Amino acid sequence: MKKELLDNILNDLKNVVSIEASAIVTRSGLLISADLPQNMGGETFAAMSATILGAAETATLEMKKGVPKRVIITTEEEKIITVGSGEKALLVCITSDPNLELVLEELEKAAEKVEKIL
Amino acid sequence: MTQELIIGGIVSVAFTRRTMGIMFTSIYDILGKNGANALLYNTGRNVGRAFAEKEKEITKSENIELLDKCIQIDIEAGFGKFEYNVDFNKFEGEVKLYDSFLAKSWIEFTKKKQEYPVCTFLAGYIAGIIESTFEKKVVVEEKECIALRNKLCLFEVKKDVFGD
Repeated sequence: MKKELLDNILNDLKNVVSIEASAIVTRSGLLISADLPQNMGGETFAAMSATILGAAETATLEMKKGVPKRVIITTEEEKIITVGSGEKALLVCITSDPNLELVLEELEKAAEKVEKIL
Repeated sequence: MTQELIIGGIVSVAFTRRTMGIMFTSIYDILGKNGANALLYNTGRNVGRAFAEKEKEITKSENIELLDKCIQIDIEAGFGKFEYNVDFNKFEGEVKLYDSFLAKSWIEFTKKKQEYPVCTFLAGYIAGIIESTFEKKVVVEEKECIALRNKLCLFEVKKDVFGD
């Protein structure tokens, strides 16, 4: 039931903005729900996303700058965006959508929905 | 040629508890609790899976017999003493670990009580062994830890409802 609701959140997100891959992951790096290309290792992607967000939290807290809202990794072609979703989970996506504002807005909305379900 | 350390028929290496304590506390210092937990759980799971797969290949054993062989080697290697009470039909239960090498390493290095369980690598490791042995995804969470001044480390085993 929860799984279905979470899958729907990722599907809805894909319908609003251009997203190549997305996943809902526990803070300890376990995959909860994913919409990933077949050649992408889901478990590693999940663990990596949780580790990066955790490390970013340490970095900003160490600098006394509060908790990071998101982590964005920018490559030549795409962005990997990770946002926290409450204490239990996080949401990560890969996008090349030029409208970053919209992507971030939709990701935040999706993250709130995930938090409520979990 | 230096003399090799053989444990359970496998060439091994040994670290002092203090070294282990430094290694693991450093990971937590750099990545923070959440980042370190994600890294260590998943690393432990990969190690546990690979270990059980190798043991399956070497001993040709399966299921409970394989699990017991893995546990026996871990006890010989100084991981601590494992006891499990898991329903392998429902994949629910608990694993007790007496004298966890990780928690003891942590205590020996930091000399203080921790605020959270520190055997996340072992939680992943247990999950990996169970997953490889029974081909079922599970989630293992440490509920009690010697580093929290509990008497033993207690791991809860649950079926991974999102995993299959």
